[in-house]
Amino acid sequence: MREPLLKVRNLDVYYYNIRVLHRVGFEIRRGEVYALVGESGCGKTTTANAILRILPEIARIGNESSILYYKDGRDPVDLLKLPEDEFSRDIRWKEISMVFQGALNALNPTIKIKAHFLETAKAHGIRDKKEVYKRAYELLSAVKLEADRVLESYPIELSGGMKQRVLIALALFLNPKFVILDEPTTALDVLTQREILFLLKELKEKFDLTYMLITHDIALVADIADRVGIMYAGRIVEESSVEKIFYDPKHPYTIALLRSVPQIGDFKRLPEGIPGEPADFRKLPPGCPFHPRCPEATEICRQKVPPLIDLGDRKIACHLYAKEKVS
Amino acid sequence: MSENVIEARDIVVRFYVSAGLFRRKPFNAVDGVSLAIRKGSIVGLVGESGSGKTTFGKVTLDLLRPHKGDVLFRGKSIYNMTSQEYREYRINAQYIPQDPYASINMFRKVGEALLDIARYHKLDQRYGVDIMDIVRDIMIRVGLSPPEKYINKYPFQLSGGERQRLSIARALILRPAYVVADEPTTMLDASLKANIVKTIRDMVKEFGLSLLYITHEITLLQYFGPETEVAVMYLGKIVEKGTVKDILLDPIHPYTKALLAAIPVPDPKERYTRKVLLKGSIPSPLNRPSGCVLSDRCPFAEAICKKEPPQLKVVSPGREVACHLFS
Repeated sequence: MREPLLKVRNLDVYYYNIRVLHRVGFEIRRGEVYALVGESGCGKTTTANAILRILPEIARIGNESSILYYKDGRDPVDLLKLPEDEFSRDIRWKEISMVFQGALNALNPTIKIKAHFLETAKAHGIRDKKEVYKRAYELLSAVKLEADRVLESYPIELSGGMKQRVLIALALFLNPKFVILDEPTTALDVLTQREILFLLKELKEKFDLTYMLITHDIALVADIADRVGIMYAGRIVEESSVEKIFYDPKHPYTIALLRSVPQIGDFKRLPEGIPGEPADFRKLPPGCPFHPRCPEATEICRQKVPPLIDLGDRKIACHLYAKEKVS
Repeated sequence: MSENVIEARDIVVRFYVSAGLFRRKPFNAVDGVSLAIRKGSIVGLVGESGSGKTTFGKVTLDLLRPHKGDVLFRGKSIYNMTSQEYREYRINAQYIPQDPYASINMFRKVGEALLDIARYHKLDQRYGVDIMDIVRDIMIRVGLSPPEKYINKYPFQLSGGERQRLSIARALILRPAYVVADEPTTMLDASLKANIVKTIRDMVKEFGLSLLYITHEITLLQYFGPETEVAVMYLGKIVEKGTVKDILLDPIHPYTKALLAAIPVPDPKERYTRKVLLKGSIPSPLNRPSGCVLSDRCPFAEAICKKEPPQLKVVSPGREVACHLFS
């Protein structure tokens, strides 16, 4: 087994007094692709923002939470306890960076692409312009863009796929080891999606990266992830290898997500979609948060929140499987 | 043969981009596209971003004047109508936009947004019923029910799916004859897409609408039934036409094949066998290759493809392809 790179433990996040993450815990190993999957508003991006320490000011992290980062295989540091100046100097962008969601709006429309690189460099104390352009040129070439032309372009002159490539290049600017990809292909059309996915795989090998992929598109996960965590209403509800998740899903929510992907040419069994709306943190139901949309909900599901238990081949939070273990 | 509600004939839309000081370079965003939609039927328009599908949709709604070509509404040119006829066309041609986060006035409550339209068009006098009944009726039909729950909500209180239902309600409250749905599910979670597409499908049946459904997600068109007409667009031209069944199960044009191959498959084993069929990405319309629009990316391109643009030809009943390899 590969050595760990990041261990998130008991991560609780509150916005004012609303709890949006409940004891989120997972481990990412060096060199793997860990996918965090769930519908919008389930807490995926909040988890990523907590790791990169860019949560909005109103957010509060629970006392028992820790995010351990294993820099160079040495003793782990708790990212949550690091002073901000140290975190921004040694960790943010240098060790952990992020490709933000919404490729189409994440760039500043009023400045050229080269200014984006200068800004990033300046924020990390690099002043030598020549050096910055040289690195930017290398990276833009690595993401298969015409570096000369793109550096002199404004974001409006680039297509969605090109903007996404620029964002990836920006994330790699300080040579990080761990990159968080927040919905890197959403809002791109299928052909562009495919190109970006190929590119991400190539960059991972080239720069020896570890990825955390955040997405609601489970079909995408099949193409790139090694391990998958399924999130619902601020909790991890199932976690396993990509094969277990796709060939032997157990949690009713995972099953529903997999069934929501239409198969080509199968007109008879078109997916129904998951009934109801995603959970709303302001009014979570008692018991398992998924029970109002779950076809297999029983009485206990309406009363008690299922704990995340280890079944050996996976972790799962569902009463259906909790019983199995007891008997 | 039933009546064509909308018929676009040989539409050419020319845009200009600046190419240096005082110089503007023309390019055709839509290049000779003809399409007809019969009463009560759905036509899917498929292609990647930048292929001109939205531009074409806007022409049929008279939101854009084409450089060349004609649009007929119920057999009459919309550019040659009396003001009375034009007004009738305006009410009958409606639009469901792509982004439910950008297209809704955030200061108007759900009820007000719908009431505005109903009042402006004096729908109460038209149908002789109470104006609030019209608003409630359309809300129930698009799935914003019970209406009392939603009528006083502001858009920020709605989820993405609910916002898109509001967009649908706004388009359909006038009981139009023709609707353009421009990627209505792109911004939504995979689990909600099916629900929205099914709502649109049911509305088409109920109101006897004619629908132009613009999308890059071919698989979603399956919800409209195997016999639904589909046109595949690339760089401003239609490259293939056929039923959903034909296009999905037996694609002829290399571009259609590439589009299908790019659809993510929810099976981790597939990741090792999948390939990218086309070289590079969609060129800027300014650098449109001479001859066939796909000739620079097509793996099967021959000498003739680089010289002569192929014409759309009927290969079997209801099936048209623009490719030299099949003529």
